[in-house]
Amino acid sequence: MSEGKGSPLQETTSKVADIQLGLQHDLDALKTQLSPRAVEDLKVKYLGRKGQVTALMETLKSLPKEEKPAAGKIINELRQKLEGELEIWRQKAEDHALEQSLTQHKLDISLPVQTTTGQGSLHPVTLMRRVLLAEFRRLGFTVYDGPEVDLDFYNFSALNFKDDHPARDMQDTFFIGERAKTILRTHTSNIQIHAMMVEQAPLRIVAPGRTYRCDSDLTHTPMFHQIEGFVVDEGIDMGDMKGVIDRFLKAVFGQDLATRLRPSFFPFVEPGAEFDLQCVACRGKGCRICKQTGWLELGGLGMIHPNVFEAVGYDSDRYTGFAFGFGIDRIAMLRYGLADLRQLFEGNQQFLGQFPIHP
Amino acid sequence: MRVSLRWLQEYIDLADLTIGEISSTLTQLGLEVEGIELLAPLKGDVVVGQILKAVTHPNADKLRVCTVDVGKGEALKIVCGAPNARDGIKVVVARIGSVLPKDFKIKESKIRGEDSFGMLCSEAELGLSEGHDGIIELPADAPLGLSVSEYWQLEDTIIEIGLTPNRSDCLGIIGIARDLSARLKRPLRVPTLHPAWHKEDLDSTSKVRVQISSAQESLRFVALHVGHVTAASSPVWLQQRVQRAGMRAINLIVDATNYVMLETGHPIHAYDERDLRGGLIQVRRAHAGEKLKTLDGQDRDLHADDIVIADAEQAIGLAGIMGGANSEVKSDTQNIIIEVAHFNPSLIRKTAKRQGIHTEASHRFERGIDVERLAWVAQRVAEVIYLATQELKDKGQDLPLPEIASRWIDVESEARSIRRVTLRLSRLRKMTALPQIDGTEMTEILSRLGFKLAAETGDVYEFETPSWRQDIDREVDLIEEVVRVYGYDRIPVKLPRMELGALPEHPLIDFIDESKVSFAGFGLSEVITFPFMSGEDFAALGIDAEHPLAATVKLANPLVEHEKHLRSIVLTGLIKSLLENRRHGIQGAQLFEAARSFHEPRALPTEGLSPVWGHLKKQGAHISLRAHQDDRVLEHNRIAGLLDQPFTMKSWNQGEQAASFFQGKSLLLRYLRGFGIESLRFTPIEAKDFPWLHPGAAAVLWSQNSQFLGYVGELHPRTAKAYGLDFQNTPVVFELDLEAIQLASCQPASYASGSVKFPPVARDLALVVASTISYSDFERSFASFKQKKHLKTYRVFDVYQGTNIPAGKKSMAFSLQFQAADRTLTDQDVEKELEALLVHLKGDLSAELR
Repeated sequence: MSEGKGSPLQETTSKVADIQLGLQHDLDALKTQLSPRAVEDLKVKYLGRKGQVTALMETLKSLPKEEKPAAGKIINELRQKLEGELEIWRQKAEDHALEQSLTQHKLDISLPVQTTTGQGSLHPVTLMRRVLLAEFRRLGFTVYDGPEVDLDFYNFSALNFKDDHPARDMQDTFFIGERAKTILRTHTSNIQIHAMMVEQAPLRIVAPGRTYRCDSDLTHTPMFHQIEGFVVDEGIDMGDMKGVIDRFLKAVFGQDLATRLRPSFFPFVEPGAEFDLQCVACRGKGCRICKQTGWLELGGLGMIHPNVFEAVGYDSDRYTGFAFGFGIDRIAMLRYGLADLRQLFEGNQQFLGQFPIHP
Repeated sequence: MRVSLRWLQEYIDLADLTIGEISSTLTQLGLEVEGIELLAPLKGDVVVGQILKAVTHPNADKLRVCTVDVGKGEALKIVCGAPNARDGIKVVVARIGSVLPKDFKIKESKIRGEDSFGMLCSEAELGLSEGHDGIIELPADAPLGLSVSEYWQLEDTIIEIGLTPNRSDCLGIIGIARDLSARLKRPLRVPTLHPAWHKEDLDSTSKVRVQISSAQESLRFVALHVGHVTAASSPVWLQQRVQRAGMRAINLIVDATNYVMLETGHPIHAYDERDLRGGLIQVRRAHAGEKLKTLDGQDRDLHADDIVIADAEQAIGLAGIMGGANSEVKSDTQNIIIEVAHFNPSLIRKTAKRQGIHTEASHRFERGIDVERLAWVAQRVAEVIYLATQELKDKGQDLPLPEIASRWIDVESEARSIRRVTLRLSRLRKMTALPQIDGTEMTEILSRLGFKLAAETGDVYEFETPSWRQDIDREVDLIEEVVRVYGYDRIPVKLPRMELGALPEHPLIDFIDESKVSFAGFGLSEVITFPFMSGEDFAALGIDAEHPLAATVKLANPLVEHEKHLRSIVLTGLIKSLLENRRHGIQGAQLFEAARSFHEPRALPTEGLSPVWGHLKKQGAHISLRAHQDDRVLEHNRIAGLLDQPFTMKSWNQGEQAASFFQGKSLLLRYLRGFGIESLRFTPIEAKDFPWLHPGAAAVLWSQNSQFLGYVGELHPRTAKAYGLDFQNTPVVFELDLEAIQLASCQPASYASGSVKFPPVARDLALVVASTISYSDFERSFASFKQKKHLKTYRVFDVYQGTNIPAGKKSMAFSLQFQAADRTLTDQDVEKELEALLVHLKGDLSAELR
């Protein structure tokens, strides 16, 4: 390569240096007012059709033939370098511009968005029912369903309620006027009969639903919710009954709470009992909620009466089983700390809208 | 059942137990203690005193100024108005500072100018009886200064037991004591009779004859004559016992019958022997048109199913429920016949219900009484009368001693046998999970409860059941007896070992919950309402008798007389909830409820049922197929929703939005889309099918295979008005048949077509058509466009009537998308198809390019 001063090649080299110097100067100036537009202007100034590098490239024509390749190489290198550098600056400028626009667009994210009166919610009884069913399914129970308006057979006589026996007075029954022996079910125990008349043992069934009694005061509503559960197989005993109800109550209310059974009477179970849970509010110390007893009476249970098995055609010597039933509404009130039962059924969205959708 | 602890302790020794221990023992036996009441009627110094001197008050003839010795300190000066206040008698003195029942405080006072330091008390003032003249005269041997509470044992504890209907034996205190004796392993002390008090030559059969018409009315009737009785006021202890059980003290004879009823659980009635015409007592059904005035003064029309007690001429008592006024014990009654009988429980129950009376007697007869101990009970009553009379006599009253006949009348209408029940020890052990119970322990528990071991063969024990236990029928009953005495708390806690369940669940169960979650997710709140409807509801909805929803199920005994229909439509509960919200000033409520509707199949029209209501005839899917065969009412699972105005309130970023038909429609489509249900059809409603919907702003929703899924629309202004709502801007309502939707969600759908690789081409098209042409006409027309090759989607983006559009016409503008699966479409492809489409639409809908 020739190094003669004033040679065309040398001249090119010095022009390249001038351009680089000029660019450096321009870029320093750019830093203070970085914008995609300014970078674009520089691109035009140096690389555009009338730009400095393009002009330098034009001078190649006048160079001696033997110097053309070397000079051309130098100019091309300059071009590539400039392109690379300007691209970086273009990126920078765009980023800068984005940053700028982001800082200018700042929302008051605290502004409210709810425009409807209520928010979607499930009824506390539905939420509670879902919690209870999930727990029973974990224990291997299948959910069953049946009618709310039912025949006396399913609600009473197959459940060993004798005709004209005072046991029927335990439940104030709504009767259907134009039909004989038809009633609104007084409990979900009718599902025991419906299920056993169709299905074969072994059975582990729970049945939630609406139930009705002709009663209305501060602590009773004519419609309320119960869950019935029953287990039937060979060799089911009272220990199993105690275990299932204990396991279930602990799972729903807390492992540290005690449970207990007290003998009681329901025509469709024998031996019969009621089950209590240590008060969830005072943990057994005694408070207003448990009426100072330390216990909450939750429901009834017992070993399925052989008369019930016989009414549905099961072999009462071969099979034993237990059944239990309890109200959901009261448990929902305990769980959600509600004081007024009637509020559950008034449909006020201010009250009901507080509840979530998932338990 | 209110049980006095003092009384209970006469039959079993409980002195070493606290009331808490007794109460928990009872509860663990299945005799649930529902309350404990401590009785301490007198507070402060109410003591035995003696009137040393009674002189007439200087300023009042009817008052006396008494000097009263109260055992210690100076004698007190007390002014008293009672005519029997006189020198020497022992009296009850309430000293200054004491408090009598009804919070009556005794203070120092001045009566007509004379100072008085206390009060001499009557029975009424001590709460012992109602309205007696004069102050109490205590026996001469009453210790001076002793507290009257102690002297009369006024302090007591009342245990309130909630008895289950199977335990009729515990409607007498002895029954409760017997249960305790089994659990506590302590002896039971049943009172003994005193044959010496009975008059040997006195025979009831010479006084009266007894006839039972059949075993249908009564199994057994015992009558006992007691002569020379006096219907005096009972001694304090007898009155107290009766009163503490919650009954009124009346006179010695009635109180004695009540006393023994409370003791034994057996109701007893006493007749004035004079009133038994013809010397006859018959147990029979009431005659047609027969009437009876009962002891409560009510004239009662009797029914042929009522059992009455009658003499030779007329009814004298409603058997087992209430005596007749014509034969009651009166103040001059001298001879009585004590009736202790059995009556048919189910007839007693029917009569008591029909007559609307529930008495201590009917309560016990309905539950069953001990037929084998009637004679014992009758003699016990006679002896209590004897004992009480003797006591009054001893205290100075001039009374004759009663004469108890030593022979009674005992009529039985049917032979009875002793019930025997066998119990396998192995079954007991297995069922209770208590393998440690042995035969000896089991037999001991049962024998303390009154069961007799009749035979024992290896594992099998045979017991005679006690006559007072009506509730023992089979082996499990004995198992319960053993385990409740042994202790439920001793049963181990374990879990069943079972096969995995293979029972399928009905898909509707989860589907209902998932539907609820969907609607809640759309911002609606779930409500649960009572399923009762009134005639006014049907009128407000415009549902007349011809409408299929008028085929309701009606309650015979509604809680509120007019709300006797079970709902055939879920919507009304939501409308009432809306009103509740409005009452609380809440606008814009958005509510839904999933519930069942009920329908009377017999009242549904057999033919000509509108296609939208055809599904009513089917039985609900939640009812087993086996139960479908019963003659029963129909139930349907529905979900209904209501969007009140406004749909959204005005806010900083958007204006108020009204709830409209389209909001409702959009909600339903989103809900159904969530279950993969598409290809739905909306058709305008027939006003006669849905009289509660705005006829121009409501639609029926159909599935792809033309199943009715539900309806959505604005509430009819008339219905809104009937419920007191604004009738111009009515809420949007919908109601869906969850069962049809669940089935539709099971329709298999193909998702294989997937996405297309080549880009779509878009074109907009504005068309002018007659204003009667609906969007669905376009849908049909697009569907029948035969030259369709590449047209993929069309979307209406403008519907316009007005300037530049001729009257009777409207403009509908569509965005069309064309797309091919195998190449990028050219302009020519699209233009060609568009041209053909325009020709088709022109021919089909007379649509002109705008």
